[in-house]
Amino acid sequence: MRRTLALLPLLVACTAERDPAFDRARVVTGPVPLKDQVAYVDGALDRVVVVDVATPPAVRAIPIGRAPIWASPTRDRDRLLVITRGEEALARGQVDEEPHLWNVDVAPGGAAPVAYEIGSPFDRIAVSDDGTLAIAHFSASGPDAEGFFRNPNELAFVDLTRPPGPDNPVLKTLRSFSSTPEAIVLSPPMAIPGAEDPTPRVLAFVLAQNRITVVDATHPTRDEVTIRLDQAGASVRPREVVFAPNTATAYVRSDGARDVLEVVIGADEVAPDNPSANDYRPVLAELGAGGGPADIAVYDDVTGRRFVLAATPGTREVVVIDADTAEFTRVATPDPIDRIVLFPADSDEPARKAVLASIGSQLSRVHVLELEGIDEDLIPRAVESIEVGEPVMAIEPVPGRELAMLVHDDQRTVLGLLDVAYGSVSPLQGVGRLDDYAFTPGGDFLVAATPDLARLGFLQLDNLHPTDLRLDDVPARVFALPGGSIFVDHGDPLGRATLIPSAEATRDDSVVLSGFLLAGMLED
Amino acid sequence: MRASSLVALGLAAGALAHASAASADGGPSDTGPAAGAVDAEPRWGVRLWSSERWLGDASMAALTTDTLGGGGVAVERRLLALPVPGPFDDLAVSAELSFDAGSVDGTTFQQLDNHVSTWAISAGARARLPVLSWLQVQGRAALGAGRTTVRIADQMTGGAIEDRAATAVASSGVGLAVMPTLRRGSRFRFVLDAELGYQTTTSTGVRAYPEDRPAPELTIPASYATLGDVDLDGWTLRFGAGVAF
Repeated sequence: MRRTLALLPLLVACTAERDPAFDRARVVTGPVPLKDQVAYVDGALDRVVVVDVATPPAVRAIPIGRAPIWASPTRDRDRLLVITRGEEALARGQVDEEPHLWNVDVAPGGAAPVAYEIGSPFDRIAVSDDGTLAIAHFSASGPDAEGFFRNPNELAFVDLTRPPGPDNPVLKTLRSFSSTPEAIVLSPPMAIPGAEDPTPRVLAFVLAQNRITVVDATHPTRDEVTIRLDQAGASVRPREVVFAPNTATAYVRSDGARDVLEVVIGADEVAPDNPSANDYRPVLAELGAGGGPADIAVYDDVTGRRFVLAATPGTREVVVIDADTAEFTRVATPDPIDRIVLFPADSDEPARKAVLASIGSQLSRVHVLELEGIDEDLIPRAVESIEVGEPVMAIEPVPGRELAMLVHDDQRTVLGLLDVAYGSVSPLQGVGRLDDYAFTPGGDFLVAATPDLARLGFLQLDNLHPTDLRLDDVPARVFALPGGSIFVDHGDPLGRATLIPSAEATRDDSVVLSGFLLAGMLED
Repeated sequence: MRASSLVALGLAAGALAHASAASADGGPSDTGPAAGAVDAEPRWGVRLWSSERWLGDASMAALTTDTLGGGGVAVERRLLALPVPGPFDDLAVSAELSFDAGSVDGTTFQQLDNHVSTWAISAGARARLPVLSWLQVQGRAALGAGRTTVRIADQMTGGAIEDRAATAVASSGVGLAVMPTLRRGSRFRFVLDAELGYQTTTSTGVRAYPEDRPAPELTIPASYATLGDVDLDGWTLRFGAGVAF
């Protein structure tokens, strides 16, 4: 008997060892819509699960580092950037691993992920428009509770075009005036007029309470420039930055500021004995918006001139600023405008009209401002008011069309479609709560979903003809991907999604993917 | 180890004590049964057992950290007795038909409740060699077929996937059987046995079939992810009780 019992430890030793990953709490980040894929980041199995929406659909798992914290796609949506926290080897199966930023090529047959050691467990990423630079930083809520010291003003500049090395990434701590970064906005590549180095570069605008810090992200070892915003004693919080890359200018809208701040990046002499000296200097100007701008927008007219629109609800005006000359034109508005939407909404087409709304006041009308020739003295500048019948609580432009969806209530059950060209509004009746929606890339369809209904609603925007597609499961998220496919995530922790090849497709054309978040889980 | 195994273990210990006492009271010889006692050997046997299986494959480690507990029933028929050199009596060889089943629960990611169940019908041979009048060394080998079911359910949503597949099974084991007689010359005996063995099964491919999915003709065409193969191979420990007659 005793011998028999002595066998038990031997038998237990014969049991397969369990991977510690299976005992972790699992957090799945995503879905993140990409170009022709949708990605999920699995926080327990440390992998990116990519669903290719091609026909037939395919699921791939790309291993990354331990404990993913945050994921952001590049602007072209070809790659996914993931910050992993790493871990300390404190228990069986754990390994010491530093925080990394992973550059994941999600295309089928794409390059292996590249890991950049970023030194700190940052939890946000800012990515340049061209996808060449990324800055890892801490969110406004600050770093997590682990570790001894944390530096919320630290940034990691990663050159995504180069492999990791001693000079990539570059860690930098910003000068602080007792505030911490709240957001980072990267400029498009801009050449600095008059600088010895004519190469376009990306500038990072780090927004914090009462200050903006400008860093040359292309040359992150150079000194940063801090712009104090509280010289007048008021508390100023920068909220929005738009750029005029042709003139190397940025326009900053801030809460608590009277005007739009213009930051012109001009050339400066480089001190020969200071290798970290900058070759630029920001020149500041307050543009005459007056009254505290609530929203700004920027557009180029047909001749390529850049204009900045600033809505100042305090003065019931919209100010149109010529970005090159700083001359401005004031347009009176009947309502306190706090939202500006340009049409057409595509950035590659010059804007011709601006729809102005008063979201904060929840007024039941919007206004259209003709932008063509707005700087010409002989053309009268006035807005055309359109009564929409219901309070406007949100306005969303339709890509590629002069249409805007109006949301009239908190529950997103009362909607309207504004035709900016004709000034007409079509109510959309019979729809459920619009918890998630997407416009197809050409702006042909509005696709809507609500988690109470196993159905997708389609609205053909040419003629407002509504159709439905019955689903097998209730939807949680819906994405219209650039290739025309529609991806419906059902919020299933095991992974369940419906792929619809186009807005005109039927149930038979569609396919349900089941269990893809567990794919390969039982394999060694 | 499960309570049923401990109970069986206790019964075996009790029977061993009883048999030892019977031997001390003038029972059959401690060096082996008397010549001609083969005719008093039982021909049929029926046994129940409780078992634990220590799963040796990483696929099962992903689903559970427990042993696969179960039980079974077997019927055996003595076929022949083979002479064995030395002081031992003949080796009794039996054919055996058995059914066994088991299941195990587990948790993955602190979020998924897993349940794996299996059953099998096997046919095989068993050999017993008496070393004492009441104690026999036994060995067993069997082949069979069965079915394995894997269910994975999310704790929060209740959504579950389930897959099942047929498997081929091979098992073997060695152990000791206590077979005390109640009456001299009678074929009827109680059997208590303990067996250490190994069971191997063909692996079961698991795909993510939703448990609640309606019939295919009513649903959108679906593609189900492959989770991998579940392999239930492992060392087993069985404690059984039965009768032979």
